[in-house]
Amino acid sequence: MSLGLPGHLVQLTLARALARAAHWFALTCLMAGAVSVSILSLSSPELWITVVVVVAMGALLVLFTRHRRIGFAVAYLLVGTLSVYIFTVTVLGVPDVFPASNMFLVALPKMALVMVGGAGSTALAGVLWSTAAFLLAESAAFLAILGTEVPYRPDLFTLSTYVVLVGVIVLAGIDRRASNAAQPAIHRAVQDGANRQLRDALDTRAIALLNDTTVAQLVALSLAEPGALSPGLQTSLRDTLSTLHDTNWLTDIDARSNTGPQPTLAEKAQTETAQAQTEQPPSQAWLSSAVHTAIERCSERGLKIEVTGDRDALARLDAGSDRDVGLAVQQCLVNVILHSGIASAEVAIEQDLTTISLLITDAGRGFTESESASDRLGLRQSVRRRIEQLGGSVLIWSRPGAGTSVRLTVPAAQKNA
Amino acid sequence: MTRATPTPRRPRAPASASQQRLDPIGGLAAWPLAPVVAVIVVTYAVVATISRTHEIQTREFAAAAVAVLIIAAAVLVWSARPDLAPFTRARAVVIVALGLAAHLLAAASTWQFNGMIQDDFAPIGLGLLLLALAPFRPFKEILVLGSASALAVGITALVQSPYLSIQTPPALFAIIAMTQVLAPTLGAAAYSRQVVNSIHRWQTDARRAIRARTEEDRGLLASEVVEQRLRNLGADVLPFLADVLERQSLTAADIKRARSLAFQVRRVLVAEVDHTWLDDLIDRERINLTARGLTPLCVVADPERRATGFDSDQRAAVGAMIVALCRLTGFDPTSLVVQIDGSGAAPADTDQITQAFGHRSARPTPATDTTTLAIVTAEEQQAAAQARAQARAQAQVYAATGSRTHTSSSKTIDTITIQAGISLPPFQRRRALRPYLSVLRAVFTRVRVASRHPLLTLEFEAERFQTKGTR
Repeated sequence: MSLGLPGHLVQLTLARALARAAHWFALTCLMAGAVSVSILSLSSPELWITVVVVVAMGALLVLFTRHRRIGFAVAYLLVGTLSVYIFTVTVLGVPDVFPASNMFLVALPKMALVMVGGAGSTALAGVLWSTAAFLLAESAAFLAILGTEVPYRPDLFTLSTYVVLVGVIVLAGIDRRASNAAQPAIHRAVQDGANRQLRDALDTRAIALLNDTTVAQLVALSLAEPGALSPGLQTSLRDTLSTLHDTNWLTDIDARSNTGPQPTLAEKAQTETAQAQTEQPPSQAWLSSAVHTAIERCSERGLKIEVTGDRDALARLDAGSDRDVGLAVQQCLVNVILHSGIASAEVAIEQDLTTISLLITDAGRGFTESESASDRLGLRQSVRRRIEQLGGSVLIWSRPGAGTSVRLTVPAAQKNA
Repeated sequence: MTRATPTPRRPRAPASASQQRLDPIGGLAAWPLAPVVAVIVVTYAVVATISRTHEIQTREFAAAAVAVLIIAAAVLVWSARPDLAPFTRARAVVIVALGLAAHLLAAASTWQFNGMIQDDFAPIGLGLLLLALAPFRPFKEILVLGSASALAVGITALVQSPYLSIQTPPALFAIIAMTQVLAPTLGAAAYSRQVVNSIHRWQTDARRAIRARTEEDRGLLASEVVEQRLRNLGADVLPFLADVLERQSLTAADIKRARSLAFQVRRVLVAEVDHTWLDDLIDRERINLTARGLTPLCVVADPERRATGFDSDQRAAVGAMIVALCRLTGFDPTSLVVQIDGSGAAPADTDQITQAFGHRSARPTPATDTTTLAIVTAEEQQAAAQARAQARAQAQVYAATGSRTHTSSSKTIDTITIQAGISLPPFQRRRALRPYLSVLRAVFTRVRVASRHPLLTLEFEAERFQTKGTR
């Protein structure tokens, strides 16, 4: 959260916050005053008028806080001055209670009045308003004290409140030019980061796609026998070239349902396609899923694939996730074809309330961590990044000689009960 | 006066947010409040104590009260210092606790002889200390601390009421004393809440705008990426494939060529995959420096690609700092080194295969068909394995000593070190980098700055609880 306020908003934001602070300070003072004089009026009933004036001040303050209009500020100032006079004259007029005029209780409405300056939209306006309020409050109080028996002592509470308020206003008003250049730089860095992130996401897709098409194609060619091109190779070559020549392949990818490599090793396919779909008739959801397409393709390349588990669960994936999961499964199966040294694999589909998992297992050669570097492009880019971009996770278990299991877990639509 | 414009409701800022956390640069501007308040508090305490010597019964308590309040003020100034940011909750609690202790000591020193509650220095001092927390702490915390203090102050006032010189209902004294604490507390809390909400609102809007702008560029970026990919693919791959397709047949030479092309393309792709945002950033700064006629030598040492685990705020903070360093006058273009290492696992990637029961010794013979596709050389593999082993060993050491890993092994700490030579007077350098450092402090922990002229070393740590997979 390093995105701070830009220069043009600082002034306004701080002014608003100071206004809030000032209003709450004033309201606290007025409430304390109201409660205090209420308690005092139990023994001196003539104090009821002070309760009324403090409540009136409070009401105006609330009104002013809600609607920051200059009219309310002026009204608050005038009513407040009058209130200070009545409050001071009445409270200090109670015989034999207060020894001098500088009572904190008497200062309460004055401090509340001074706080009107906190609502100024600029430092200068704030200082002027609070100075006016301070002068009015002190004059009213002075006049009031002259009319009572108690000796006059300067009221340091109101004075120091005024000084602190003006200090804070000035501090908030001047201290913002120092680091103005840095804020736009941070903002730029955040924008750069967002751009880079999008670019990386696109890049991830592009690299996965290139790996799926071009590299797979070149590998297929390098593994083929010299002589005439097999029909399978021909189709897949044509498909790759048309995919890459279409310059919009990256943006169009969302609309496309069929971007993976076409069957390439068809000529090596001697083994029978054996999809374990015999026990039950395949549903439409399964047949239309990209995982099914991927399995079909790899079966055409000679891999014997057994599918178990809840196939219809794949219907819970949206179109985009379905496509990416299909491509990831395909890459796992291609890895089995290329590296495992075995011609059979198992795909198990599981689901729970919020996710779908696919476990692709082979009993082949397996690999070690250090060795995986040789094919990390496929696993990393075409499987892990793809699944992670969907918000899913990939777990790989492998050990030399004991096969490989890859578990893809992706979030899916909530399962219907 | 300005009129409030009605603003639509937006998500509330997190309860732990403060002005300093959300807007570190703005928080810098607020810091002088702390020393000013500290001076006022201390001066008032000293003056009030001296002017009321006739009320003081125990001089030791009075002296201790002033001393403790001075310590509280000092802790406030120390805590608010920008180079020690962020201002933690513990610091706030200590300050308020010291203030309360000073209040109790002061009350004890004038026990039974206090003439008036209103001229006690401690409640006002406590209120001012709470006021100074406004830019640094969330409003709820200020409210809680302030209410607790007010309660304590109110109770002491009630206890003292029988001995006071003014005869009014005791509740009045409690109200007077509590107001001196509560008014500044509520003011500070209101300020904190308002500022945090405003900043949060702006951040939400700004992020939305950034996202929208980024989405606008999607098409442009996509075509750039495609263009770059096709360019990197090499001029000959596509013609080669087209040629093979046209001829409808494969020769032995074609097969050999396909093999070597596959090898090359994969090498390029793997190199691209290993590129992180940090590499991108340094690459761009290198280009900028070259454009300025300099010969840059900027080094990124992040063998485990730990940079990928940073979130967008951390990336922005590091990025802005590096850019600021590179553009500073007096920056030595050959001196920049950015290094990331740390304890715990590096961000998830396919390099980390979950080895259920595997041993490295049992190596199968690789398939003859694919040996040509092994694009990472043995040395590279070895180096990577070594780095990983080192990281693991380091993690074990940390776990054993328990020095940095506090809770569980799932916590990861990345240590980032940025070093640059800058021939600028220390004062100017500090001033130029201060805002960027304040942002770093907001998103990283343990930010340390060391300087041996002209070399400047920044070291900071990122804690990761789970790994992320984006580059």
